[in-house]
Amino acid sequence: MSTVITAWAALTAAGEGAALAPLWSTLDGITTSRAVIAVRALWPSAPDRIGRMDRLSAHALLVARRALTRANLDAAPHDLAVVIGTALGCAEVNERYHRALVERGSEGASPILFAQTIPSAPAGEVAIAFGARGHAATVMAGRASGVAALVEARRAIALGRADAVLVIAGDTLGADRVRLRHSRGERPCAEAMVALLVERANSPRSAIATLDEARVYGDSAGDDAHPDWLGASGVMELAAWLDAGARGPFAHELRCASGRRAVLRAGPPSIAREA
Amino acid sequence: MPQSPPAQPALSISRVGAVCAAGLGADALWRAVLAAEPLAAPVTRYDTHDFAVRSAALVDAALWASFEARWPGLDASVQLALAAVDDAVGGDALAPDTALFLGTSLGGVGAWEQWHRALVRGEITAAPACVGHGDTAPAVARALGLRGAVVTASTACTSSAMALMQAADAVRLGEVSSALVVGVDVLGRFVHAGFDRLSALAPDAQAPAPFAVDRAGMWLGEAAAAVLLTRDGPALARYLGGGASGDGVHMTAPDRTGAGLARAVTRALAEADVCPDAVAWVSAHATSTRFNDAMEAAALRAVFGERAPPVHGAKPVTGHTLGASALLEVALCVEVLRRRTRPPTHTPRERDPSLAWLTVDTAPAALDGACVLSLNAAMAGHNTALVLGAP
Repeated sequence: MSTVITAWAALTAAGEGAALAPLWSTLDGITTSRAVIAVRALWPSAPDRIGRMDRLSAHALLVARRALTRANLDAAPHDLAVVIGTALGCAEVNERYHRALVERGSEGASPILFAQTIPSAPAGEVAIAFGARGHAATVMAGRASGVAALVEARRAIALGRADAVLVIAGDTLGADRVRLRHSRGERPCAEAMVALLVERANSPRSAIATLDEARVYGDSAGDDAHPDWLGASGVMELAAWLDAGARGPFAHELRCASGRRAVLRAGPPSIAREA
Repeated sequence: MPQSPPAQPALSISRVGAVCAAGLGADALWRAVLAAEPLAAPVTRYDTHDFAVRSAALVDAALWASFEARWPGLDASVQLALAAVDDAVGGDALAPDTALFLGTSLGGVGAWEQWHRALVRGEITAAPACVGHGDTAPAVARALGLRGAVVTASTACTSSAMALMQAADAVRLGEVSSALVVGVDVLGRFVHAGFDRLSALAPDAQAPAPFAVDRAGMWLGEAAAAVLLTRDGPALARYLGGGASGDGVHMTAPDRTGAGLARAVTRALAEADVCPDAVAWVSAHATSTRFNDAMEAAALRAVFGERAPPVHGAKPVTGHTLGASALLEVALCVEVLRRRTRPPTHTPRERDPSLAWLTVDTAPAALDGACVLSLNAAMAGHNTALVLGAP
C-alpha cells in the first residue's frame, strides 16, 4: 500500500510547530504541559463557533486549518475523510459538564457541553468548518492513538474508501485528569495536537514524505522512555522529522503500559520517486 | 472519497453474542423484539429524581450480580462486554492473536463519574482503573488473554458500526485472521442527564414510536454485543460491506436532507456489491425523534426511491443503547436472516403522513430476500450503513 504525507501541522504548549520535548510547567505542584493557546491570535478569521468549543476541538481545527493551508486547500475536498486519534477524547469537557451536574443538579447539565462530551466531537467540528463530507472515524488506543489513526487512514485509502485522509492526533488535559493521573503514579504527560494530510501516492499534491508503515500490536510489556504526548505520541516525533526536512528514513516504536506496541515508518519523498 | 468504493469480499460472522434489557443471548433479544413491547422502566439504579424523563431499559440487576460474581472488581463496562463475548464464544478460547475492535460511546465513564462526583464534593477516593472512553477495551483484552491489536472506536451512537467496519478492513487486508468486535455502553446519571436536557427523550407516559406523527423521542438503554469476524469458515451470516460519512452540518441535529446517510448507504452497497433492489429489510436507526426519522426517510428515498424495503426500529424495545446499538442491531439482523422473519416495530400511534410511504411492519412477516441493511447516525454528524447477508 503506497501512501504519502502532503502536509502537516502541530501544536504544543510552546505554540505552533513540532517539538521533540514538552515545555513543562506545574499545576497544583504537579508537572504537566498544557497548551493554553490564544486560538484567535493564531487564526484571526476563525469561525465564531470556535469560541464556544472545548480546547480539544479548537486545537484540532487550528492544526487542520494549518495543514489544509499548507496543502494549498482553502477548504477541504468534499470527499475528504477525517480520522481523529485521541487517548482521552473529551475528558476535559466531561469535567466541566459533570462538575456543573454535581453542583447544580440536572439544571446544571448544559446541553451544549453535553454535545461535546463525545471523543468524536473534533471530527464533527472539522467536517462543519471545512466541508469534509467523507469517511469520518475516531479511534482511541492510549499513547498509540495517533498511530492507530494513521492505520485507519491507510486502510481507508487501500480499500478505496478515500483518496485523502486528514489525520488529527492529540489530547487536552483537564485539571482533574492531571490530578487523577498523578494520584495513580502515572508519569507526566503533555498536551499536543498534530494534523497530517495522508493521501494516495498518486495525489496531485506534492508529497513531503512517504508513509511506509503504521501498525498497532498488543504484545508490549512495559512502557518506553519517549515523551508522553498522549494520543500524539509517535506522531509528534513524525512531525518533528518532517519539520527537520524529512531527511533519511524515519522509524519510531512506541511501547505502552497498556500492552500496546506501535510502529511508524516513513521516508523522504525521493525514495518514493526512485521506487 | 470516491463515490463508489470497489467491491470487497464477504466475511464470515461466525459467532454473535448479546446482552441487554431483554436478557442474555440473541434468543432473548429476538423474543423481546418479536413481542414489540418496550423494556424500559423507571430507573432506580442511579439518581434520576430531577430528570424530566426517568425511564430507561437497563440490564436486570440479577444479571449484573452474576457478572460481578464471575468477573469481580472489573468495571461495569468491562463486565457487560465480557458477558456478550462469553455469550458469543461460549467456552471456546479465542486465538491469542485475535484483534479486538471495541465500539463505545462512554467506555469507563461510569466509574470516572463516581470518582469525579466524590472529587467535586471534596471527598478523597481512590482513582478507579477504568476512567475513560478508551479504558474498557484494554481491560477486556486482558481478561480474555488477547495479545492482538486493541483499538476503541468512539463515534457516539455509530461507535460499534465503526468498530465492525475497522475489523472488516483489518481482516480483508490480511492484518489479522480473525477479529472480535464488541459494542458496549452502560448507562449512568452523566449520560441520562445529557439526553434529558437535550429534550431528546420521550415522556415517561408516552413510549417511543418511530415514524409516528406525534413521535417525541427515545428512551435510553444499555447493552453489549459481540461478533467474531473471520475471512471464511462457517457463518451465521455474512458481512458484505460498510459505509460511513460525515454530515458536516450540525453537532447535535442530523442533516435534514438525509444526504449524509444516503452517502453512507451508497458506499456500503458499493462495497458489498449489492444493488438496492436486493435489500430485503432495513434496520433503521429510528430514534423516534422528529428530525432523525424524517432524515432517515429522506435518505432511504434518495437511495431506494418510493419502493424502499420494509423498515424496522428496535429502539422502542431495547432502548437506545448508544455506542452498543449498532452491533446490537447487527445481532438482530443476524437473527432476521437466520429465521427469515421480519419482526414488528413497536409504533402504536398514528403514522406521520409524510412518512406513510415507508413500510413499517406491525406484525411478523416473511423475509423476502437474503440481504439486509443496518443504519446508524450520531451526534457530530456521523452516519454508518452496514450490509449483511445470509450465509
